[in-house]
Amino acid sequence: MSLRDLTATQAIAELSAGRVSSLELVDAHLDAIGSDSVDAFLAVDAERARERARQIDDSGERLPLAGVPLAVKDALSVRDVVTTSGSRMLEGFRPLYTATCVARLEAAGAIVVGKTNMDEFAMGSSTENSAYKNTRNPWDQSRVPGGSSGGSAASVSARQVPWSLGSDTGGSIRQPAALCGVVGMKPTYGAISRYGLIAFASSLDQVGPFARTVGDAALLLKHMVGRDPMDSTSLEWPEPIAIPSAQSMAGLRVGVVEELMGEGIEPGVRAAVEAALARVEDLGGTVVPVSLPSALSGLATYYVLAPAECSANLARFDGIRYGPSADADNLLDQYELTRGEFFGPEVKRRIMLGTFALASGYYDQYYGRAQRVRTLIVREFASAFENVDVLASPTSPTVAFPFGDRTADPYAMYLADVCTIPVSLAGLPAISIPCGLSGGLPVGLQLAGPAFSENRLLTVAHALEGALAFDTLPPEMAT
Amino acid sequence: MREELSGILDHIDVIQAMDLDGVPPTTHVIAVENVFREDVPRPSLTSDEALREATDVIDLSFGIPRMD
Repeated sequence: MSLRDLTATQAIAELSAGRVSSLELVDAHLDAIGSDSVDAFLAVDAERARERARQIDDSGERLPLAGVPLAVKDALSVRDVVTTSGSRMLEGFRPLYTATCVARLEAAGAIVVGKTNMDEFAMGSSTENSAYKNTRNPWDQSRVPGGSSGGSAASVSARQVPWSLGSDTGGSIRQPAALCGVVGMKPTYGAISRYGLIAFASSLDQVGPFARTVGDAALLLKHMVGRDPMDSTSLEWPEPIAIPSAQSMAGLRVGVVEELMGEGIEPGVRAAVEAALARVEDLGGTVVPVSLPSALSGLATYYVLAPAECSANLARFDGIRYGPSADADNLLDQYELTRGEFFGPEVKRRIMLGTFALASGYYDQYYGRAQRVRTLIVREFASAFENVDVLASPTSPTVAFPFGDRTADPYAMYLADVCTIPVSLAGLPAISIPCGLSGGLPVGLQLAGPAFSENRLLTVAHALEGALAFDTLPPEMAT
Repeated sequence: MREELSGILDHIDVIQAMDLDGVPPTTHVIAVENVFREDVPRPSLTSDEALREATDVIDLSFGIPRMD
């Protein structure tokens, strides 16, 4: 077993026992990144990481995350480390401060080794919208890793880091976690500060962890949640995140969302999810069907609200205060040429869609109606949680798809998030765990709960993880 | 691009047929009170730091082309 095969929890135990140094651990992972077979990283700061590892080794500090390597999605700012959000619009940009979530993890001992690839400004479901490169799925290199946090998911799956951070607006943590066979969690809206996260759609954006075990995801989450004066939407956290240990689901009621198990879900995905639900009953839980009649309207609602919000958030990119700039001899030309040259096609599409949905004369028809459909979805979830403890569905309607399969049809790409978007619209926490294979590719099970039910979700996910015993090692890497 | 956007709007139009009578819009998914902080001075970026990533700097300011 190499150091790369350790989970974060195992690595912390090895470090605490003095059987391995932080520098050895960081070097083993940097070597893996150096021979990067899946192109997960946009930037690697080896010297910064090794320097921090030496400091931790020399000081003998016993920090809770004790010198464990961490990869960070390129949408999260790290002071002086190039941060692009996958866009030419921020090529070469070095932030002046570190995102609160990253700063909290660094203070707890985690070591940032690099920034991971993503769809430009987190808009996409395959990481093919990155302005820089494609990231490949470690389970099949001819296929996408999902997105938008594709690099963060692939780096954990390929054992280049034990864990990583992503951001999730409509499914950008859960969907790539499902496609790469790892654990990914989007917490309750407001659980983790977004200070330093490059904004996409502010009523939806959340930061969250990727890991190879539910316990590791819980540990990373534990050190990030809570109020931050720099993000007015961040929340006081009601109870500490607990590291789950339950092996039983006795007394727990799991609702299966009927609308997300029907047409449009690949048979192999449905079969793997149904097999996982059978394990719920083996563990003493109860499985009941639940209806969320408006769930399938979530996709249309999201593609009004998220573009509307992004059209406002991305107005800041003007080529003046940071990022590259087009040459022009008057200001309006500079704005137009800069935005025309440095935004990619999907970003432009969404900005145009969003400005249209907000335009006078169309506002009530699009943005206004979408905000009201959102209320229906919120109410349907609330009503479902009167009868069940968690809701289950596939995370993604399909397994990982080949490169180029959906790039010609934007809506076909949007469908990849049909199961994750309703949860996002309601601001609820959800976790995706790998639950089996279909055609040799991982299938994700999504578990969602009421706001602030992270501990319950982690408990259920951990118990199921034990029963499923999914092997997260991609076959190509086992050789 | 025009065809792509029209295609997306066709899909989005499912929300036009929904019965939303009496349903209020959602403005915030988690009920929170307005948040205020103490108005106390704290360290901020220096001018040099704030201008570090700028395309053009003129006399400790962001430089821009003429406006006309």
